[in-house]
Amino acid sequence: MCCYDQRGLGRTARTLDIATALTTKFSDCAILVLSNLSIVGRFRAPQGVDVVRMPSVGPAAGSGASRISLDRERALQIRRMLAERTVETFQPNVVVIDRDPSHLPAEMRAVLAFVREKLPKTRVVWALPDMVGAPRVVGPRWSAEGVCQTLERFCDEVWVYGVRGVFDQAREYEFPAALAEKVHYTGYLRSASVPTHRVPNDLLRAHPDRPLVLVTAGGGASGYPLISNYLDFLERVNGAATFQSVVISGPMMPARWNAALAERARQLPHVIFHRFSKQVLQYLRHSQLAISRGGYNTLCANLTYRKPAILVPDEEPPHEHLLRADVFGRLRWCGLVRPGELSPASLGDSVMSALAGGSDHPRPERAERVSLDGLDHIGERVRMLAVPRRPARNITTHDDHRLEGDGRHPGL
Amino acid sequence: MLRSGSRLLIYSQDGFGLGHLRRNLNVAYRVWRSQPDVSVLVVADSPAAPFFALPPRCDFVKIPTLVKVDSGVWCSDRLSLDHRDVLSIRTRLLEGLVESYRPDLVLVDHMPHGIFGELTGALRLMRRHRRPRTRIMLGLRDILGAPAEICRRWRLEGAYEAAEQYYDGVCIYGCADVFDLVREYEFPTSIAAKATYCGYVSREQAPPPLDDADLARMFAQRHDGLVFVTGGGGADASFFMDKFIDAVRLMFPRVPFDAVLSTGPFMHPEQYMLLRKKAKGLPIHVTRHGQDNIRLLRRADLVISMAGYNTVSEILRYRKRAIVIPRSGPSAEQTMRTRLMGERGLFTVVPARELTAEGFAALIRRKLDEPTPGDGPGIPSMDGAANAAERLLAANG
Repeated sequence: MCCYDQRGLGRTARTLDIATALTTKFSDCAILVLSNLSIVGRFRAPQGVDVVRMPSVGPAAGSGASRISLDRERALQIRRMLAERTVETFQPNVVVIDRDPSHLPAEMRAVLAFVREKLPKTRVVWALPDMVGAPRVVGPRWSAEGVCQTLERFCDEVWVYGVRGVFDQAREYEFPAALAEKVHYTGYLRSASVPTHRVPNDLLRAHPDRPLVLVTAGGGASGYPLISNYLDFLERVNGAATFQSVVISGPMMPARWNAALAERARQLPHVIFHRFSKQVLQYLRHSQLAISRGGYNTLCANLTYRKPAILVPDEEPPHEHLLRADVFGRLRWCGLVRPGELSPASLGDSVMSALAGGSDHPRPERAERVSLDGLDHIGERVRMLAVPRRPARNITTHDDHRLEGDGRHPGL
Repeated sequence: MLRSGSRLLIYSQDGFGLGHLRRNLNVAYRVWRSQPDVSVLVVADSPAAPFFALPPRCDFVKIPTLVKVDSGVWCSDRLSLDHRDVLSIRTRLLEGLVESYRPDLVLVDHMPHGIFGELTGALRLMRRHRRPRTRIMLGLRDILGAPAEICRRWRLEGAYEAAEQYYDGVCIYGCADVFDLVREYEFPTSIAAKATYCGYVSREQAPPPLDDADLARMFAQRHDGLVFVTGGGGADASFFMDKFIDAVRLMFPRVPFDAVLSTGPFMHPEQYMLLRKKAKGLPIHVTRHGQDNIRLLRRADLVISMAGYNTVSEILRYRKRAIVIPRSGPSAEQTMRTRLMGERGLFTVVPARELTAEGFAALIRRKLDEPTPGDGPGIPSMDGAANAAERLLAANG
């Protein structure tokens, strides 16, 4: 499984979740996760899964100071070498790639061509979140980069970790018919369940009667405005807030910004501040309201735990977060603060009205019918793909939790 | 000096912890300080890599993990693959890295030809008609293990030949007067001639000690003293931590200190939960993420730890009172280190099997009454990182 994150950590995080689910389904499967995420070591890979980490690719030359050690060309060369040699020696049955297909398309095209040439039996899947961005941005970008042709030519399947009824990617992004046929909508990815009695330590020491507002900024690279505005709102109510907050800034937030926010949070009563927490789901479980930037994984968690949510997307093209917030806001599954309208006052109003349960209160329970069974469907797809030479109907041995094959360990 | 824009590749095999990586990053930091235009690529296999903040102009590659089960016995950490399959992936990736990164300087940590000779191919590639010639250096920790065992393995696996044939120099991160590694491991003159004792490598860029406000957030009521208990990576630290909690329980309610117990990222989650539960009601804060370890150590009045290289270096560098419990196996490294340093009176050594709650409690009380260690003559050189960086960057030859 290959995942390439750009500014965040979402792709690697969900790829590891999917890998975890697959190892419980198929006990003898071996999964190598190829990721460029610098903090990939903070995630615990389960038994059956190991990680190869590729170096980062810096910004194009001349775009300012960078801490990246390698020049861009060399980094790309090393990454390509790592990807090619890993698949060549690991010989996976299935390769799943989770990556923005319009990001460095030449890099991916080369690896895909290599897989097709050297490992003709390996099945290749491209994975996409429920929505990639506004069609008016994604369409031109993809056609300029020849994305649809690449996917159609090299991939056996395209998985959309979403629901067609919520967002029909094939239609919205105008996939050619041959590509549209390869698309499988898996449903959203249910978050892991956390036992109710597992309460994070600092929450135990906090005030049990106050409602809890959880504010997360995903990886945190561009989370500063959200968190700064939220703290500003708390500073203005000056200790009079009737709720308590857990604020998680994100490990990719630049250290200087993070320190400034942490210091402000320290001055405020009833605020717990973390840069990174492995207990996000526990906090979410105990919260009454979740504020986030509208990243895919956070949204899945909100849906899983049916938490009223306020999404505060940024404006960055291709507007993935904004589109998601819009779609889910229209369905009244969450509240929304638009990028241009983000201010301490507007955010505060949304928080107060969501906590008060007014008429425009977000109702995540309305999302009841949206499928969260993505992990199960992915497992089924893998079962089909990993055993290429048999007719599909012969391998539906659900209770046999092993992948059949040619005696080798199935690998991804 | 290397020419500007040179590339340094560091091979840091760890598998079951973070100690080697930590030391290598300290050296990498010093390399950057001496020559900021050198770019560094670290190849690590620790599942938690990079774990520490990387120095500027440093990036890393993680390859599939192999774990040492016993001397010379390795297995795949997580993949349900035979260790030979994992090894062949690693070998291919290592060869590819020297081809695509084209390092000017290579630092190999503690295994001259890697696990099962996995580096041999890469070393050979670098020695084959490469211009400019790659400078290849070996870095060895103060003590690798029992001399008989290390000599046997090095002979068996051809490590002496590799060290002789491929390497331009050897940096020893220790002192000959503590442990004469060259003599103890019977280095032939060809290797001995290119070996340098650099001194101990300890933490670079250490943040300041924790302050009162930090501690107030951990403890509702503060006591005067602070005891810091750490087990490095933590994979096998639960035993003495458990005993420590017993000892504090015996002292309760007259415990003259607060304690922070840092379990390390590799302690089994269940053991961590058990320790947490057990410490309830006592002035003990149990944490697993370890980001503040060095700040805690600097603040502590007493350090209780295992005898890993980095923790011991930090204890010496910051002149801390310490009780050290060496890991008994699979290698004799920690028992040897504590014996040699214990003899110099640098800290108190207690073998794990002799730990009782009563004895532990009495020892903790006694240590807290001792004066803090000063700059005695027994403290070995602590300039390892700077000396190693200088040696690495020296002109060829």
